[in-house]
Amino acid sequence: MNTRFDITEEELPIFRAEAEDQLQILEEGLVELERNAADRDLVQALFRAAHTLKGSAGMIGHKRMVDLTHALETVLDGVRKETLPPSPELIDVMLESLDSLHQLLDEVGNDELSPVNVSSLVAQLQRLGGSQSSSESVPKAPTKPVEKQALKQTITSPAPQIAQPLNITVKISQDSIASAARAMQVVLALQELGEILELNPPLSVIESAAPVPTLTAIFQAKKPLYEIRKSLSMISELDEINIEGEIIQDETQKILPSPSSATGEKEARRSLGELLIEHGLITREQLQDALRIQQDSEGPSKPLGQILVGMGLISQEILDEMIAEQSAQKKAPTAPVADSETPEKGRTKVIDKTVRTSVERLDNLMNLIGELITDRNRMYQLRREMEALYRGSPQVEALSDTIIHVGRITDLLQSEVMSIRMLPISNVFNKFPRLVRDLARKANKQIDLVIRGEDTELDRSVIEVISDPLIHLIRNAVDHGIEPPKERIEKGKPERGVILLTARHEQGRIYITVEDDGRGIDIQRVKQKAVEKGQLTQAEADALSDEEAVELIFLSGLSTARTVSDVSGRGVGMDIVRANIEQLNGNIQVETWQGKGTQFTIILPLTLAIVPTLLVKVSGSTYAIPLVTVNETLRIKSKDIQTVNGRPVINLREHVLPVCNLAEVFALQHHENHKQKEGYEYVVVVRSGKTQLGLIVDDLIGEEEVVVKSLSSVIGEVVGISNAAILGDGQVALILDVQGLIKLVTSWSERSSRFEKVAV
Amino acid sequence: MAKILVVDDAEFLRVRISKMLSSEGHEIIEAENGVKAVETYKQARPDVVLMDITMPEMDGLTALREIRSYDSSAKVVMLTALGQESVVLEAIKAGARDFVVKPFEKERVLSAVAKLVG
Repeated sequence: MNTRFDITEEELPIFRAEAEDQLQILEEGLVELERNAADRDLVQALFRAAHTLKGSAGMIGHKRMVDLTHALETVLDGVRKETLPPSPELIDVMLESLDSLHQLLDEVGNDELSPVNVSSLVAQLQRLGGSQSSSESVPKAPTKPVEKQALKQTITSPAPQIAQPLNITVKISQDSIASAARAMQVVLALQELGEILELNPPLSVIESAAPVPTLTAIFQAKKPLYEIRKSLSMISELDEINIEGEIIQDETQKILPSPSSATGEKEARRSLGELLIEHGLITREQLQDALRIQQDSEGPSKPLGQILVGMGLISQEILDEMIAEQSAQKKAPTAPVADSETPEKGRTKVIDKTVRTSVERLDNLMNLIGELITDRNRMYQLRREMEALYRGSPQVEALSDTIIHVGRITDLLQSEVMSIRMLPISNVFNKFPRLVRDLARKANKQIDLVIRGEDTELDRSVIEVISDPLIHLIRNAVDHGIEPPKERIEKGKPERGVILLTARHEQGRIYITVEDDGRGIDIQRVKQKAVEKGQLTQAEADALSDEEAVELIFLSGLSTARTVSDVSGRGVGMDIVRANIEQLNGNIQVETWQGKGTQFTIILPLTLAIVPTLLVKVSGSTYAIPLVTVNETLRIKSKDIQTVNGRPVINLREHVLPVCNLAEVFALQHHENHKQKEGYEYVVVVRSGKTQLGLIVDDLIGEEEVVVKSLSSVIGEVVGISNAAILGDGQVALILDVQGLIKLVTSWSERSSRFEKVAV
Repeated sequence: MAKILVVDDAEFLRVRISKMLSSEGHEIIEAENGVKAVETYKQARPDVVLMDITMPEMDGLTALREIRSYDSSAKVVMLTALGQESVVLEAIKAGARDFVVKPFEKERVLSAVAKLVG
């Protein structure tokens, strides 16, 4: 496991998840802060996130992460105190720091050193933040050199009531981050025990939180000395406590004088002595004296404690208390134990009722469910056959019921596993505010991103692949859609553009929209471009309706942006976006309103592993058509198929619908079946975007959820076929790639024919 | 062994501290913000409270004051970080018994607790 960081394997996922949450809060918040600098709660939340992150990073000893988060925290503190306005430049550097923090976070767990220049970022943050560090610049407290008194051996003096004022000096550890607070603890402790006559540095200085390396007090005690010592010894980080010239060293430096012999009794005595020194009740010298008295005494040696009481150093009461503590310590040794070896008792209380599991396990589970669904389909098929063969047999009926039950359980299992695999789309959406902010800043535009439905859940597999197409659409909206502020004002629009990103569930599918209130797609330019590229003739272009023409943006090589910007225009066009989405068995549609904006709608299945399809028969083979692409099915007379420009078409509700016979497309033997003899054809109307195509098939079998099996790894890409599926009857069905088919068919046809409207 | 309330908004920190303390046989209860801390304190009456300062809902200082006004003998140790000198000072004035600075070592946490559960 890890060598660089102090973190165990069980802690790692908690640490990472939490750190990622904080980074997310910071990223979203910083983008919001730029627009809304006056939101105090927001700034507070940002500060807290940086602070928490720093704390956790510190706990595992991630120094670089601590340094960067500290600088970030300091800047945010300035923003919080309204001494530092959050300028766009400052936000830029802070966002850049977040990117680096992500990289630094990645170091935890993989042990690789990320190439992050922490000191440069820290320097930038300090420069932009006016290097106003909250803690370092506090003026030092004036300190009077403490009068060093010679070590006096006050063996005989301590009376229970002390009349003379005491001169108390404490040295506070240099490591203490809040020495003033320690000083305050000393002051409060002393006030409990008597009266402070003089204090240096004075209370006002302590209250200013300035560092207090040394505190001296003239103190009129009302309690016995040992109580004062005991009380002060309870305060952490005091290196030295000096009362009337006695020096009690901090427990961490305890080294005991080793007596000559090492008998058991001596050990015990030594322990008691040690304990008393630890508690600041006696000094080492006093202990030495007492041990000497003990050794020198005649006859049976007196217990050490009694000698100390006899010397007037401690009271009987204190002795009893110390002996009790001594025996308690013997029972529970506080030797440090390595964390990893510590038995995890009491840990169960901490764990909540969730279990973390790996993505691979979920994928495996989903694969198994897929197998199960294939078997269920097969069992349904067999059941039908059995019932036909042995109608009325009680065994067959019982078997049939069982099969139905197993089928139902399989469905439930599938939906359970699906729900485990579901993630809210916010996992994708939440990086877009930052994206839009950065892109808009580069393009000198003012854009607000509005997100709706970020709680919509979808399968992990979809989440992973939907991000890139969305980024592309958003880039386009920023770069081509939204106008520069000046242009918007001239048009009478608000200066700030809006991009609306939504997600919702509808009928077992996910609808994601990306909409902008920009200039809309210039249909004339799209047409012109298509003609220039030789994809259409001028006449064809003129014949297109606006609705049809806008679809041209999905053709390859069509970019209407006049300039290739840094933002979009990286050679990836809308054709790739559509191809990506259709690969997911999804669909993308576009609507545009001249001067008002553009909306893209992406429709996706809930999961990629299991696809609802329509099964059809062509030349004796079964094909599966993803339901998401199916508009309707028709039964038409064979003679209704007409030919326009040499291509078969049918008239569907006053529109010309190009059709193709799947058997011809796949060059299959054309089976004459009875329906054709009867003069009827089945047509499945499918669409890709707004382009529709009628697929002539021999028969419709019905709907079935099929488990997708990849083909490409076996036989490579096949035009018109996306994947394969195993059906209930054990047959393999090919899943149609509708987009590919439409491309294929329309590339044969004369392009304009499919767009022509028929005047009836 | 003592009953200890660990209050921090970072789960990682809570887990880390709980582990340190439970290895010593202490009983641990947790709260993730000031509001919960005050509630939990009243219900469970822990012997010692280890409490973060910077938290959502209710910060550690406010929670400290509420706990102390409910139980003036409450033993609260603040978990703090660099740069919080003045808050720590406020906390001490408000009756915090000690403070431990992040990143803290196990021994430091244990000794802070040991001092309070004599």
